[in-house]
This record gives sequence, structure tokens and C-alpha cells, in this order.
Amino acid sequence: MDGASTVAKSSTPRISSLTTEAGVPATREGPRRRGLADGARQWALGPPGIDRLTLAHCVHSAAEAFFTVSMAGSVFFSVSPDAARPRVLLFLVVTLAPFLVMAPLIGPLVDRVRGGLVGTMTVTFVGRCCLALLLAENLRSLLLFPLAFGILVIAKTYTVARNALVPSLVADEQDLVAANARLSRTATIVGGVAAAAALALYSTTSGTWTLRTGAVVYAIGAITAWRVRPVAPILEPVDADAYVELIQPDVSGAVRDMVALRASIGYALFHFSFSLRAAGDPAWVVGAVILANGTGGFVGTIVSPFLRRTMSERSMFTAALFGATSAMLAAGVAFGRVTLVGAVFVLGLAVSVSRRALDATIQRQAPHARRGQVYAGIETWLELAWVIAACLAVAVRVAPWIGVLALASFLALVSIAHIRNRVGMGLLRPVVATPLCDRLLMRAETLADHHFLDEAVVVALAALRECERQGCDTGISSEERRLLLSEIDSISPEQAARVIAQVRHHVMHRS
Amino acid sequence: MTWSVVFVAACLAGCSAQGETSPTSVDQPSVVDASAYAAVLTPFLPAPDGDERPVVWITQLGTEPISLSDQVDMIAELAATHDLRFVDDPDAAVDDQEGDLRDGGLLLGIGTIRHESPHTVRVEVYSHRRRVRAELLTMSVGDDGWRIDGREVVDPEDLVLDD
Repeated sequence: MDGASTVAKSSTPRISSLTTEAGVPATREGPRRRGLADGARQWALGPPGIDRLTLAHCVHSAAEAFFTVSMAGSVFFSVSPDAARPRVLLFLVVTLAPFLVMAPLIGPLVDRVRGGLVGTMTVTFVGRCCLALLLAENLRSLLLFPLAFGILVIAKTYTVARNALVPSLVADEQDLVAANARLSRTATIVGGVAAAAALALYSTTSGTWTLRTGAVVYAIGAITAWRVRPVAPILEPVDADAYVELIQPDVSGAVRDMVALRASIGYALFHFSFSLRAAGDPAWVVGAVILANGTGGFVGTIVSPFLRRTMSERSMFTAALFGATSAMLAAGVAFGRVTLVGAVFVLGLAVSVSRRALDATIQRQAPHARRGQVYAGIETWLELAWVIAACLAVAVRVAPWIGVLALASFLALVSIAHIRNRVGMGLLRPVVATPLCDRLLMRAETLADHHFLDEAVVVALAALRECERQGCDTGISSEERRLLLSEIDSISPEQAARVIAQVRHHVMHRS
Repeated sequence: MTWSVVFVAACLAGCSAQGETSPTSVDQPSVVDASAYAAVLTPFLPAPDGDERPVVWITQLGTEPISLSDQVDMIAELAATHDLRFVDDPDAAVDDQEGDLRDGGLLLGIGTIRHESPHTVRVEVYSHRRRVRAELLTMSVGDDGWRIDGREVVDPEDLVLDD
């Protein structure tokens, strides 16, 4: 642990000390320029520690842009959508398998192996580089499908690993929300520039050369990913606290809303990729939809800090869900290219804002869940939701406008559930009508149901004490309680059940 | 939760297997393959104009769809000279306003090639929503592949597009 702390300290030098040690002539312009440069660097890459991850993520974003643009030259846009549908569906289903494996296995990798995540990220870059080189030779063959989906799966693995790594790269006093927002913002800018370069390259050469260039960028990404060094100390195995935090209504509700929005994006991208082509829309319309999603995500990183200052995280989710629902509904009713692109922009914006709200919720209400293992678990479910929704979009063949209305209906249902949950929590919070001892008893029973026996007994005894404070004679002596508390670490389920039953009896008959 | 995901994956895999229109045609050699369809296309393909590859939209007239592997093979075979684009719905190839083919292309509707001799196939050629001609081709297969033995102009039935 000490060693890790030393690493953390040595790898996070303050900017000011670096500039002092640089030995630059002490003119007035020098420090000012350096200050500006440092400010710009901080804005773009973040403080030392996370800056290398930001750089790696920017390279990832650039490489993905080259990969996406190169697909325009693939056989995918020439074969009939119905003929491609079964094969795309098959490979999408195949992508589920790694996530099913990853969900239970990634935990130990994340928290116990130092550099495990960095290694995973590096391997994802190397893997994509190799697949991109192979794919460049097979853009017009049936190997397109396994190779392209191989890259997609590895990209999802990268996303999970990267997001799980972020908490270990930000010091305690730093902001997880700000770090994630910065990562998204800078990577989107770099991705946009790279997409323009990729388009220029594609129009002057071919999809093959665009993808080969993408492979080179992936190789550069492997080098930048390898240079990432976690600054936080090695973590002890996660205890139950982190999981208990996740079942809090605020946190679980936020995760649920985010899962729904991620699923919406997965559905939208695949549904429009197929249905727009089937309707005869040119490939650039599909490109515009993808671009609108990315632009919405970028705008989301800019507006989120302002929204956080004016509303709660829960309200951010409410605004995001209702905004996305309204936009999809409008696009479905007045369907056209412009309304569709506008709706996808709003959906991308909503997902981005919700992502920041989720990070903020976890940071504020589930500090233990911030740790890699639990965070990676959430990420895995988000990616799974994306893939499952994409499968649904490919499996069901409907016209674009029907798909938009279906998506609007889904988002409307999620919004209603969100509001119901929110109103329910509002009703739960000011529970002054229910006496404290009853509430404590309920909590003790819930904890016992979840096998948190020691905690359940302590809360039950608190209920008993509250009952006594109201003038109830419980008949349980202080000595009995002390004895119970002294053996609380090894309390059996039967003992706990007996204590809670006894407390319930007194609480129920206190009047 | 894990089991529910496995269940969904299994269901989707089942759907996928069902959705594959002719799995045997992808994996096993078939009498009527991509080269047969390529032979049918050849007489109707517009001549390339310099570096520009003419766009050729292709749709299926018959009940037997052209498999994905055959589509890919045909695209690869003619990639150097023509931009072949397969569509499920022929209307997807036509501009809604003018009735012209999108991207200045040509739409070919190809029927099912008879597996038994004589191997006949009906082709409809659209250069505009209302400009159509149709031919019935008679083909044969030999050591050097598929070839066209006879072409007969027939009345267009407007099988692909109508007003």
C-alpha cells in the first residue's frame, strides 16, 4: 500500500513544480504563455495521471472514425439489407458471449491485478489493429462480417476497461464526473477531426487504404494505452458496502435509466442502418445519423456542467428522458431526414447528459461503487443493453418511421417509470407519518432478508431503544443486549430472526 | 440474470438460423450460383464511362432470393467495372419525384433461374419508372461456365415497378 502511495505521489507532480523546474528564462511572457499552454493542456487532457488515458482515448476515437468511414467502401452497403440481416444478427448475438463471460470475471482483474486494465486496453488496441489489417483485404468478401464484429466486440471491451480505469486515475479530491466529461469531450473533438481526414482519404483512395491507416492509428493507440499508469493505490477486495450502495433507490434508478438510454442508442443506430438503406436512402444519410449521435454526445459534455449547477442528477435524467421521448415522437409524426437527424442528435445529447448524471450519482451516493470492480459491472450491463437492443433492431424489420415511433414509445414508458419511481421516492422520503421505531424495524427486516444479519440486529436493537423511548417496556435487559452485540460477528440466522421477532412483538404491542 | 441473457441469446440465434433464407446455398455448391447470375447480368450492364462505374440496382423477381454469398460474389466479380447494389424493395432504387433511377443507375429485375434444362430466366430492365423492357433468356451450363443461348423479347409485365 505504501509503495502504491509513493507511486501515486511521484506520478502526480504538480504543474507548477514542473514549470519551475523547467528552467525557462524568467520573462513575463514566458510564464504567461506556459500558463496558457498548461491551461489548454489541462482543459484538453486533464491533470497528470488521467492525461495519458485521455490521450489513449483520443487515439481510440480517431481509429474508430477511420474504421467507420472505411465501412462505406464495404460490401455491407451493396448487398440487400434482408440478405445481410441474418448474418448481422448472428454476429451481434456472438458479441453477447464475451460480455456474459466478462461480467463475473472482470472483477478480480480490475481490482486485484495492478495494471490489469491497462494491459486489457493495450490488448484491445493490438487486437483491433490486427483485425483492421485483415479486414482491409476483405471489405468485399463475406469475411467482412466476422472481422467487423470482432472489432466491435473488442471496442466494447475497451469501453468497459477504460471506464473502469477512470476512478483509479482520479485522486479523491478530483471529480469523476469532470474526468469522464473531459474524456468524452476531447475524444469527440479528435474523433471529428479524424473523421474529416478519413473521409478525405476515402474519397481520394479507397476503403482499404482508409482502414489500413486506421490500423496504424490502432497501433499508436496500443503504445499510448500502455503508457497509462494508475495513480490510486491497489484496492482491497470490494466488500458488501459497494453492492448495498447500488441498491439505493437513487443509484439503482439512475443505472436503470442509463441502461434504457444506452439500449435506445443501440437500437437507433442499427435500426436506421438497415431501415434507411431498405427505404433507398443513400449511405450518407446513415452517416449523418451517426454524426448527429456523436455531435449530441459532444454537446452533452458541454451543457452537463451547467445543468448540474441548476438541477439535481435525478432532474437531469428526467430532462434527458423527456427530451429524447419528445424528439423521437416528433420525428415519428413528421418523419423526414431532417427530423430524424435532429431526433438522433437529441438522443445522443440525452445519453451524454445522463451519463454525467450517473457518474455524479455514483460519486455522491455510492463512493464504494466507484471502485473498478463494481463500476466495471455497471459498464458491462450498459454495453449488454446496447447489444441486446441492437439485436432487436436487426431482427425486426419495420419502416424507419415505425421504428422511430417504437423507440418513442419505449422511451415514454421508461419516462413514466422514472417519474413513478421519482414520485414514489418523494413519498418515501418524508415518512414522518410512520413512527421511527416502525421504520427501523422494517429496515432491520429488509437487511435480514438480504442476509446482512449483524446490521439487521443492530438496527433492530435501535428500534427497540426507540420503542422504549416512547415509554414501552420491552423486557430485554441491557445485559442481554450487550451479550448479543458482543457475539454479533458470529450471529446465526436463527438468532437474528429470533431477535427481530422479539423486537417486532414489542413494537407492535407498544400501545 | 445471466440465464435470462443466455435465453435471449439462444432465442436470437434461433431467429437468425430461421431467417437465413437458404443456408445450404451459402455453404454448399449449387448449380445456380453467382456465376450464373453474373452471366444473366452481363448483356444488360451499361458500358463504363471513363473512371465512373455505372450504378446497377438489382432486385429479385422470383420467389427464390439471391443468397448473401452469391450477392457478394457478384459484387466482387463486377466490382472493377460496375457498382452493383442489391435492394429488397425496388422502389428503394427509384427517385420518388422524377421516377428516374437513383444515382443515374439502371434497375434490373432478375427472375429465378430454372434449375432444370432449359434454364430460362426472365429479366426486366428499368431505366425509368415507366421505361421498361423485358427479355426471357435461355441459358446453359458447360465446362466454361454459364452462357446465354437465346434471348427473346417479351411483353413487360411491370413485375417490379408499377404506378
